[in-house]
Amino acid sequence: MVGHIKANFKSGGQMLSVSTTSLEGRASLKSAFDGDVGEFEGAMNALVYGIPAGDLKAAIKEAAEETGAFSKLVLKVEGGCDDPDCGDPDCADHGPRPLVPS
Amino acid sequence: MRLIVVAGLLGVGKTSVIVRLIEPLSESGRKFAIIENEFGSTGIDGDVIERGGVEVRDLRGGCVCCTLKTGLIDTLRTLQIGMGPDVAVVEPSGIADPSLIVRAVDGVTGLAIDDVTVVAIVDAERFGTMKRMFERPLRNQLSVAGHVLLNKVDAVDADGLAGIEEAIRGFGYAGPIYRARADTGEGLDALFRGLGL
Repeated sequence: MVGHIKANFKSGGQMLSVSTTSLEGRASLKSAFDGDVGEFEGAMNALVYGIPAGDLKAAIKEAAEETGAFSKLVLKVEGGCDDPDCGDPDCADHGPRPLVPS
Repeated sequence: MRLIVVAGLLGVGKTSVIVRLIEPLSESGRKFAIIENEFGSTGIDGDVIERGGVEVRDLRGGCVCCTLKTGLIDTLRTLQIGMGPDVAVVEPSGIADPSLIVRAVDGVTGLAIDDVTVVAIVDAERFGTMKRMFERPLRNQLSVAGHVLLNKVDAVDADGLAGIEEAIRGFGYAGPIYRARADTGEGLDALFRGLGL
């Protein structure tokens, strides 16, 4: 699996910005909250090769719900095909990308 | 107007480099603009860069090398008329082919671009996987790159870095390779000097 998952969470003019490219879950913080916050809004962008988009969506939903931090969660698969070798601008294939191009 | 395209595959550190680029650009007194392109419709990187105190133009929901090519040209035209930047920095999405961007802006009527420089960022930590999975996009990026930044060098030992540089040369790239850590800024000065900033 290879990809990039990144997210920004905003609260009262502050922003927590986190990014990971690691399968082990190591993440880097580009900015963080000064301390605890009561409420926040966030957006996350996950582009991952090697697993179907539906499975990725389910995994994110499960992990987000596990935190208990979100009162509202909107998850969507978008953008159609993300295969750089596809070449079809209208391709809507959300299937798994091969780990090694065939 | 000079165009600097900061290219690289997914998560190589493009945004981190651009955030670090803001200071030398500001100190040089040049007027500059940053154009962010994200494949998804929700912008993440633009917000990160705006925290550096600069305005960012976002092109979302596609790639500026293909589906959003017209959007890129329109944005550059708008910037040229309204702001007249000396430098426009473009961060294409991680799946973009920068050679298509170079071709797209070449000779466009009403767009005064004096020079296009492509900086290709390579992730030292994940180079083997990236090379195996994305050899063609990597080759495309290196084929038009004037500078290569080898990022996340702290994750690889000296022999490993030498091997990666050899592999990059194996793609036919003959320009400078800078070793750096975009997260701390270490080693980026050499790139900025190389870019004449």
